[in-house]
Amino acid sequence: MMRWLLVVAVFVLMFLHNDFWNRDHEPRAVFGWVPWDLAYHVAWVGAGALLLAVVMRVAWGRSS
Amino acid sequence: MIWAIIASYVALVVGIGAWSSRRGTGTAEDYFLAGRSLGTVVLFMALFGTNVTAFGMLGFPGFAYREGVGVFGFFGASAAFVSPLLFILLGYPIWNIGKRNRFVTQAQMFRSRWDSRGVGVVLTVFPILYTFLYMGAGVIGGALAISEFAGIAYPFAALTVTGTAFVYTSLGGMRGTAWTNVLQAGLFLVFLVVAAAWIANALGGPSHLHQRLVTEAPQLLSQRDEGVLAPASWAFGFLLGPASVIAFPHMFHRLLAARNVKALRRSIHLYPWALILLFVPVTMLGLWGALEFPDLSGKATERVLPLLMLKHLPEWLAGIGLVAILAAVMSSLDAQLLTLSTIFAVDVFARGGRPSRWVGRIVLLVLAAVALAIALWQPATIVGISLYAFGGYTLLIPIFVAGFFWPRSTGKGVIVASVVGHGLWTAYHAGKFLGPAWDLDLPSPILPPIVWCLLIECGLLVGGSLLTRRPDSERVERFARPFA
Repeated sequence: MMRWLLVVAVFVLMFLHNDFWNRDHEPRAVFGWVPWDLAYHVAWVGAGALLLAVVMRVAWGRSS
Repeated sequence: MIWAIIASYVALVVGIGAWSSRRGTGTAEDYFLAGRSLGTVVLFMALFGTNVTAFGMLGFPGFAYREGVGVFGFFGASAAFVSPLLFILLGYPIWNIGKRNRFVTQAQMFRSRWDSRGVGVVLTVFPILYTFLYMGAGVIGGALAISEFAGIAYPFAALTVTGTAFVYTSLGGMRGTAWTNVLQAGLFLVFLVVAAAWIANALGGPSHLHQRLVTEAPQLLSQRDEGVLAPASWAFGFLLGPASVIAFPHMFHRLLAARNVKALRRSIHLYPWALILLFVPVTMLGLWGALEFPDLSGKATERVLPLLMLKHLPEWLAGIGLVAILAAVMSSLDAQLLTLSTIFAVDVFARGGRPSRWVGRIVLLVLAAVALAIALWQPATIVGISLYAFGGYTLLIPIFVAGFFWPRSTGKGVIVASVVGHGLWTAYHAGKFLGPAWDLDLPSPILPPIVWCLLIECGLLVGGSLLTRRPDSERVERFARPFA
């Protein structure tokens, strides 16, 4: 069950990577200088890093 | 001053190679795989340094200059998630089964999995072809940058890059290249962060630069709907580059050198953050370069980082920047040279016997000469060569997946699928290289060509395996429980 949930989570994350809703928006910035698109994908990588930790724990089992 | 910095760098990496050669036990496994003893820091820096080429330092800022901030999501973020994900799912089985059976190369591992000499040939020929070309592309990129930046002749720059990498790789083998990668990866990461901060400060600060981007080049602050970043290309972009990393023979080789599962786990945890540390500065530098040098076009956009360095950094820091570019080129080149020499020593010359490190060293010299010849020949654009090689590596992944996770797969299925898949991909690129009359018209508007090749390859692998005799269960058992 957990493995299937992780497969779904990976697909959801890959879908969120295709952020068509961020196309053609007015220029915005985080902290006054980080372009919104860059900030979105850095946050996406952060979420990905957490997911990777869970995938590793489940796939590698006790060896991790 | 620039020459003094370059000379110091060359002396340092050669010194590390010589120091490493004294620390080794003198066996072939120690030379080719550092005795499978790399701990977390060295393993991580070796994997990361091997992965980052001149594209990261020169190509990517140019990419951001042309296409805008979207390139970070398209390539950087994608690489920061997909590459480590495949390290988890395939890298651990590669390390685990490689250690269990003392495998040294891809061909050795999968030839044994299916007891098939044909699979061994497939996994020798195609990786050698792609790695030769990819290695040549790296040398071309690095030599072009150095010749332009330092004002020296291109052939001399190419000779400096390949000659230095040959000397320290030959001396130190895997241990030497891994330790030089610690220096090299550390150097280009620290330089990029410092250079981005320095240049932003020199240009009035990051907030001021953002305001300038909003008024002068707002199109660079959002994703484009056409070209490389168009939605269809974006959706499958991870297949060329981020996904192919796990199948690079030189990354495969590095993974086999991990000391234990702890080193592997920690390296994978560090990977996404190191890629952010690399790709955020180069993206921002590309955008800021578009404000400073708005008239660059085509290949000239890849000069944006050196131009910013020359204009805004003090001479000593610009000199370190040049060495950082050299480091990015050499940290991949050394791994490629070592891996190719291992493939020749183990799969071509030893053929099941004990490989000789001296054969490896002699082959290394020949390979360095071939890399130099490719760099002097410059057969196609760096991007064109790299895309062909990346796609080819991606087409190796179904073999790994079948080998580890599908006991019913057969050697014959793998051979048919690989020959057709790689043949189709090669024909597609050869058509582009030879001219319009030879252009293979794959239905790329619907799906990118690499997706078609992968689908055909996977279909043939499944069909070919089901139509051929079930493999020997004792042999399958050696590859069972890849995560155990």
